Amino acid sequence: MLLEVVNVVIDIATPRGAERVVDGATFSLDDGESLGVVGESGSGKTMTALALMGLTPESARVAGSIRFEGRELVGLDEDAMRALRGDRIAMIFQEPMTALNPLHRVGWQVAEPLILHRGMTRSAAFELAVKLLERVRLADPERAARAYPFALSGGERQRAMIAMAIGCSPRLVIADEPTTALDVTVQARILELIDRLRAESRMALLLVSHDLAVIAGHCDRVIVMYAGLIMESGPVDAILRDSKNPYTRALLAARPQPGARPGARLKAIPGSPPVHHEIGPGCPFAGRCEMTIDVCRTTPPPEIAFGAERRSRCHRAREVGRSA
Amino acid sequence: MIERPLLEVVDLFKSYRLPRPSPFAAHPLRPALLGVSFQVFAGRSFGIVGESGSGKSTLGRIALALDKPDSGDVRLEGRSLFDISRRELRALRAHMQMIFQDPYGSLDPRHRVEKIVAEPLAALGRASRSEHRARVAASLEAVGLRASDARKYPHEFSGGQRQRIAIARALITRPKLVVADEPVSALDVSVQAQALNLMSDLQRDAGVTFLLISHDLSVVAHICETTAVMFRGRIVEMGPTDALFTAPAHPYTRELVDATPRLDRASPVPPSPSAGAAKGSSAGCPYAARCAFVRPHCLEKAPGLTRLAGRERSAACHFPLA
Amino acid sequence: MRLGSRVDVSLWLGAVLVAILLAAAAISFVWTPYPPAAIDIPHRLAPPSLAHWFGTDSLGRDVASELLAGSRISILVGVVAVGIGLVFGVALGLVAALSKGSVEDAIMKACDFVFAFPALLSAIMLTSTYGPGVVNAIVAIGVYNVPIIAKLTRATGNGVLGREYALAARAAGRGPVSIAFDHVLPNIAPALIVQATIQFAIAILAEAALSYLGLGAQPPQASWGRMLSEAQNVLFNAPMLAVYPGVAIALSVLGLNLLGDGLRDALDPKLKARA
Repeated sequence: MLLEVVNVVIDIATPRGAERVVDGATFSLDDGESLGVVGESGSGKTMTALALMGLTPESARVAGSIRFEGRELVGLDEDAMRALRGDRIAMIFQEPMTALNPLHRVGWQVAEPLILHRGMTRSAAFELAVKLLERVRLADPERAARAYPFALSGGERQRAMIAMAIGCSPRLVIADEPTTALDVTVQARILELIDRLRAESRMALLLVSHDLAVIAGHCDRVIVMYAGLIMESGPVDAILRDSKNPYTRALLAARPQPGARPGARLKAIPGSPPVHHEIGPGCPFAGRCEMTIDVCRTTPPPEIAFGAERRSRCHRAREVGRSA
Repeated sequence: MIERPLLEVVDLFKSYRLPRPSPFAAHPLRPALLGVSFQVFAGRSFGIVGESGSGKSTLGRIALALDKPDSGDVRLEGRSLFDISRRELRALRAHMQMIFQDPYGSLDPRHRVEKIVAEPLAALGRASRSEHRARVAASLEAVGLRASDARKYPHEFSGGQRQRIAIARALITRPKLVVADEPVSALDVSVQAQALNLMSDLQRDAGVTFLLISHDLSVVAHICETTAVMFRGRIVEMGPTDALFTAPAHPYTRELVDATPRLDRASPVPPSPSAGAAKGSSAGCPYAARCAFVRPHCLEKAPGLTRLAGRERSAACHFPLA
Repeated sequence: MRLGSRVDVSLWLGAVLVAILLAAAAISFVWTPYPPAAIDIPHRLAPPSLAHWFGTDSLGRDVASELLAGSRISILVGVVAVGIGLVFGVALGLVAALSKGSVEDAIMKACDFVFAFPALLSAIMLTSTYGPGVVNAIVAIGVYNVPIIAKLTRATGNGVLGREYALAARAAGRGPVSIAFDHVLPNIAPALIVQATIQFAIAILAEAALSYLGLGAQPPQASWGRMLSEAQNVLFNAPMLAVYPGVAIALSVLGLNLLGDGLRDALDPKLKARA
């Protein structure tokens, strides 16, 4: 197993005290697999992704186990972590403009991991960088390599960032909302690029997004997070067809549909995602959930398994979908 | 008897001047709108869909006279917005309001909610303070907030609630037209639905007509009967929303529809531009360089927006798909 | 450490120091141990005692009384010079931010022109041309505050005008002047307050420098700067005579800066909610 995450808990120190932003995340990922992490604001999805790279902020404390290639990453010293980053694990960020240094030419930024981790000479690395830019289908890769980030469009910058990420052929790529800042037509092409690169190289992909449909199109499995908890996990098709968790169902029902008629009402979820210090002792979705019963407010929901692959965290998981 | 449109946009042109590369060179121009015309009728909300660079936000601002076009006109119930005095324009603003994308930036953090929501009333100069208070309370309740929320500051509310405050502000003068520029893009999915339902309800109950600008087809589909698709400053297709998205006539609309991630369908591979369309010529169709269905004629002559035979649909394409 | 407590410490400490400064000035109108200008040669350069708490200076004047009276000048200069800077600077800055284009450029170039002259040198030029004295010192220092405030107002004002709520105000039908007063000023106020306290502190230092050079407050008016200047002559006999006014200046400047920081945070509605 390439990546095994067991009971990861992340607390952030704030003026109000420690806030638990991820509460017991458990999942795994093997070579060539793709896992989607979907959640709204405050779900903890980005913090989870950052924890895998050891990039959580100073104020965060990570507990639990993250084993990558058999090696424990939690508590690993910074030097060892740095050796992994860009080489075995790579990350693609949401905002290509801020993730790329505006003062350095694109080619050098793509070449940087190659120089660092592969010990290549600058000229050899730059040549390889141009080839990488070609591999990510940038028109005129030579020109792009010599250009500064501001000269490229949003989609082109994202392609450059992907080139930077795959340079050392990492085994795991984490993409945190890689297309949210892009136009939808560009988004489609970037996602297709990521799919193609994965197919070529057996890279594992962890795709973080707030958009279930993006995950649906590009991941085999998915975990649904809410207020730091994994509410449901399993194969994407099964969950979309027949979710066993009220939050996932509510999320699916609330999503605006392209084929809708004007004036059609959406099944909205009342209230809004909780702020951390407002979460009570029970399920964080209690109250907003239409299946709420008393026990939901007092006791944290258990994880109920449905076969080997599927799990749902809900007191009433077995009843979900029954009366639909 | 022909119904008069609530809002009429006539042949708008707008370009922005960019900083010049050297003191002796001319200012390069970035075109934002290249001849946009359409009509919005009362009770039938209108959607504008486009990506970045389409000019949709510029269009939204000019439609409310927050910016002046280089040429063309905007008429509200027949009256031009640009041919009148400042005072007359201010009076007309009571009938048209705006909701912005960013629920965090569109409310002044130093004002209480009451002052924010009452601002359009204050600008009109009529009504006393107590009348303001009463109307603010009514407006807040109409959007699902409480009258007591008027005393609070914006930072005490979540993103979705702030957007409701922005909607309450837009409604307080009982406008006929509300321009909404990406009103739900910054909201979580679970909260987007609430905001969209609210807008639907307001259409029905408060007689508000929306001009909804978005990059998201699904959002527009829920609110608008008619939609125009914009590409690089031009309208490339226009017609009833549901037909537009189920059977697009213009290749760009088709590209947008195909690219929109859907739950019920495996993600389609976007059609790549055919090899022949390396660079579009300036005389031809602006979409030719990207078009999967391009033919030689497309590079020679730019298509105008023409009505498709027998239907309520127009497309700017020589060879419409549907 | 809780963020709140750090904010409060600045505010309270600054407020206390500034309060002491103001109290010193207020008291000095009503009472000082001795008349500050009373010369008493037989008792010159006396060390601290019960009769003279800080001793006497080279002309036998009571140091304690001079310190109290000197605070009046410092405050007067600070308030009026900063006042001039705020009134004219905010006005110019707002005009620049609202007009844009060539008007904005012209105003900013004018500010740059004033900046080209070193502040203290300009103050010296002005006071030596038009004569020494408190009034001229105030004007010289005040003039220099105007471009500083103007530039700050324009920059922060433009920031506010670019926010969506300013656009929303325009969409609601509000004119530029009402937007300036209702939206721009309240949102730039924190930056202005902090800058004003910094300028106040600088004004006190500038007045002390001018008085030190003999161009500011003239005898028999007591001034901390003048005390410093006179203390130079007797530095080896009575070094403490330089320390007392120096400490008075330092504490006042420190208090003002702390107060400015504390006020800016206290006025922020986001932090207000937590109280």
